Amino acid sequence: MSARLAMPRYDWWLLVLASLVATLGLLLTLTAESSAPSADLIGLPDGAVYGYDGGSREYDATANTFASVRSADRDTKSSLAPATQASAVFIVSLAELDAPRAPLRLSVSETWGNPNTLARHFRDHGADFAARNADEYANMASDFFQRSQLNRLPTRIDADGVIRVYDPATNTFGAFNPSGTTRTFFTPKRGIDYWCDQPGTSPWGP
Amino acid sequence: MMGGHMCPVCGFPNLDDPPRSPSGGGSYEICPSCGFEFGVSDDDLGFTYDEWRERWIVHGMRWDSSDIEPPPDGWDPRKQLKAIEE
Repeated sequence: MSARLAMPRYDWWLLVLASLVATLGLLLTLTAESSAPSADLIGLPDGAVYGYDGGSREYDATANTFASVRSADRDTKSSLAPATQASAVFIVSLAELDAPRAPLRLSVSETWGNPNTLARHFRDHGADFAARNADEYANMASDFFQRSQLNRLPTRIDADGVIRVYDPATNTFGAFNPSGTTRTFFTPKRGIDYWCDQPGTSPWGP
Repeated sequence: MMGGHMCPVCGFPNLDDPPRSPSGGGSYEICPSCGFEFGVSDDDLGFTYDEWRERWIVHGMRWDSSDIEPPPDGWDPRKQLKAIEE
């Protein structure tokens, strides 16, 4: 999918039109390739940065693709006003680029913190989630952690870096190491009261 | 099981992690000997160490992980309990 853009850099209306065309081109491309956000837009200056709610992508003219702007560069580039840039800067709404995607499916050895403990945790908590075996239970825990951070579920990080997450809608609790590997995963009998007693502070702010 | 941390419930000497972190959170490790999960058996189910120990003793001090792994060679729950008393 290509979108041809010919745009005077300082004409606001053409800028808006070009943004809409670029948006359509990107969305159509992402529909076909949802796993690797990229776009094949023609006529854009190298280094053009697309800002959108949730992040930004930089156009690579050589590869004719977009790539995430490195965090070190993001602030500088996103602070540049569109009309003052030699390379056009679009402000478009592309929330779909960072829309929640399917959780990464990692091996259990990559997601469970201490392999010596998995069988016991599955024995004691697997029924909470109707998990059929230890691997499925561990995968559920990993999926929960990934989705919890995408959806900004209640999270607390203690002084040791242990990450505790709670989903009040499903009464699901998980504790994770700083690396993201799972310590435990279960449904607390005390529900929200158990969560309220957990140590740590929220990374999402008060 | 080479952690070397003692279970404060049954005296099992080889927990991988301290039962409680310096910040106060449970380790969530389940003792293979008595089955106590630190941060869950206490903070959620409401058992004290003494209550769980009593329950474990009443039920015969069985190796809690028998369905998962056999106890260490020479495992003696009574010797473990003495470590608690000391």
